[in-house]
Amino acid sequence: MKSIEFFIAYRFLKEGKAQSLFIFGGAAVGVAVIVFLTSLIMGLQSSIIDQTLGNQADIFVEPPTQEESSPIYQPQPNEVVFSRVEPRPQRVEDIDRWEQLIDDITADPDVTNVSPVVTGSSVAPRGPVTNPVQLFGVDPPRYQQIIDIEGRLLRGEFAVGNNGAVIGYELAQELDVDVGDRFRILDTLGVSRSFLVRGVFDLGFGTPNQTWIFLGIRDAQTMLDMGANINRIDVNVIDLFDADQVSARLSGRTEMEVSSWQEVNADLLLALRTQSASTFLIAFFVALSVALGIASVLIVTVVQKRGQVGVLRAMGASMRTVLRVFLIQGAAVGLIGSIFGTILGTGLAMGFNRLFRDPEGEIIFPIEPSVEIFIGACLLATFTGLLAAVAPARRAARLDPAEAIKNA
Amino acid sequence: MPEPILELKAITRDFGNGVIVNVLKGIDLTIESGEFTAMIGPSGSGKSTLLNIMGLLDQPTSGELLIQGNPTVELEDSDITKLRGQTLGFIFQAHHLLTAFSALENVMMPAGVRRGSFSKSIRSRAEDLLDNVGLADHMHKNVRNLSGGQQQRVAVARALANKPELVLADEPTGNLDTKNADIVFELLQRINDETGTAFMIVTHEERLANRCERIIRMLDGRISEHSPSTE
Repeated sequence: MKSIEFFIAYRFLKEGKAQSLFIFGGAAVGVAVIVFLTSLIMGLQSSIIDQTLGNQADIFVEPPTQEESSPIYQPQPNEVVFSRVEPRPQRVEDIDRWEQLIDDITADPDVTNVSPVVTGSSVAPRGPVTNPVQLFGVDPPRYQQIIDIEGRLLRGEFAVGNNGAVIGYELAQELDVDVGDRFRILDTLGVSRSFLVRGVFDLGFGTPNQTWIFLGIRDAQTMLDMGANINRIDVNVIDLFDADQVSARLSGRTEMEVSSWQEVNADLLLALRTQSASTFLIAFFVALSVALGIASVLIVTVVQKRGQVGVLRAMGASMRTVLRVFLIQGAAVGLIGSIFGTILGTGLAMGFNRLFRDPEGEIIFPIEPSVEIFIGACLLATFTGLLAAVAPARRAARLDPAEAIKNA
Repeated sequence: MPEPILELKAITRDFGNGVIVNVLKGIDLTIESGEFTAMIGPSGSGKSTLLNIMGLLDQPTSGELLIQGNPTVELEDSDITKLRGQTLGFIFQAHHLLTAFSALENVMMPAGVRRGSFSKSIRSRAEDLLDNVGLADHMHKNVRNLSGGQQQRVAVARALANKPELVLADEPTGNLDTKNADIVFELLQRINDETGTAFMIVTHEERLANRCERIIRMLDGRISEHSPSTE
């Protein structure tokens, strides 16, 4: 590529001012739409994933579910048996020797954080009313690495153990308690024990705020009658989207039932993928229409500049030089249009963030145009412009100089 | 005897499919270096077509064209382009300046496209050339903003940019009034005297043709008269 080709391309674009403005505008609007749309969808998706995973580990390791016990009497084909199957009393399966298991899991290179959890359901009575609750026995420093509880405390601290409890703010309202107050939880035998509220959290949506109670591991083991065992290990991994691979690996290694967040939220992921695919399709068609616009304007330019192209050829400009002059114009339209487009798209995204808020004035979900989107959009637009310029440029390069000069 | 710059041997040129028009019907012509030649003839006699072939802008249907003794018929586009840039300069009737550029850039362009970029030496040569044609004060103006005579003088300066052996001028004074036509014509003569650059000037005007060393008269695709000037 020679510098004079850039110079000629620049002057040709500058000479056809109005035309160039339209074509730059078209490219900019197209890129703005792509940037805005992609940022919107990515913001939406990351906020959905954040919300889902903000209250959930990347991977759960649980004891294998026990196979259903075989019936005592196997009926013959022509026999009718009246039977009533009494379901097993709900009993939490345990993981014994869990320290060893945690060491094993921690050894996996993709695993960042591991936290033992004792979980089970119970009730918290207040006068005649009983509130169903979900107990979580955790070690705060370790669990904090899995889910950010501290950052979402409304009051108090994330401190449990010795009959301390951290509860959801809606549950606190139900029980009419606050930091420093006491409330009661029933253990598996129906005996109630008293706990001190040390902190109140807001995890963003319903169930956790209404039912979750964090206790110390010991306290939870006592309440759920689990001895020294635990019944879940929460695991976070380096790359969220590798969770299913890590999960499969852990499952092979530990004989536990391991599930990734992707498996737990399969429907959600399918919906997100479908959304991404439709975004891609829209972006593709926008890029296509921008390309057609650039191509048609450049074809007109070739016709208008026919005389000058002929003169350039007569002066010694090669076909290749003429070809490149028009390719450069196409690429420049794409690149410069995309720079304005990303600015416009970012403006749209910021406007959207400002306009669409929930009743409390909070951003519904933040649209965050990222550097990756900018670079991607610029590359896409430049390439599109270049591609769009191929036909016009070839046409210009093939102009017969004598004809071009005569008809100019 | 100076070396011929350009030799045409039995050149013909047909146009059209179906109805074929023989525009050139066998032209033999030699241009020596430093010659100042006029080509004259009625419209449709084939002057411009012949000039285009001489300028390697068009290919003959048959015949041979030698530039400084080298045959050109079989050459690739890139070689033709190179040869054209090195040996020939062009002045067109409608000046055909590049309207996207200033006078100076127009004059720099032939050397620029050959080299791939503008250099200081290209620039200073272009400034000298414009100075020589009396446009030192106008060189940064866009060529659209120059008068017809000024534009044609820019075209003359541009034709000389690559130090061509031969300048082909297609009615260089055709669009000018008598006064400006004389200025441009005298400019061409002066350059011919000073630099020894050969000129082939297509013109309608006997008045100007008679001031040339040699006159070629075209009629119906043939050279009808091939007379040295009476001067």
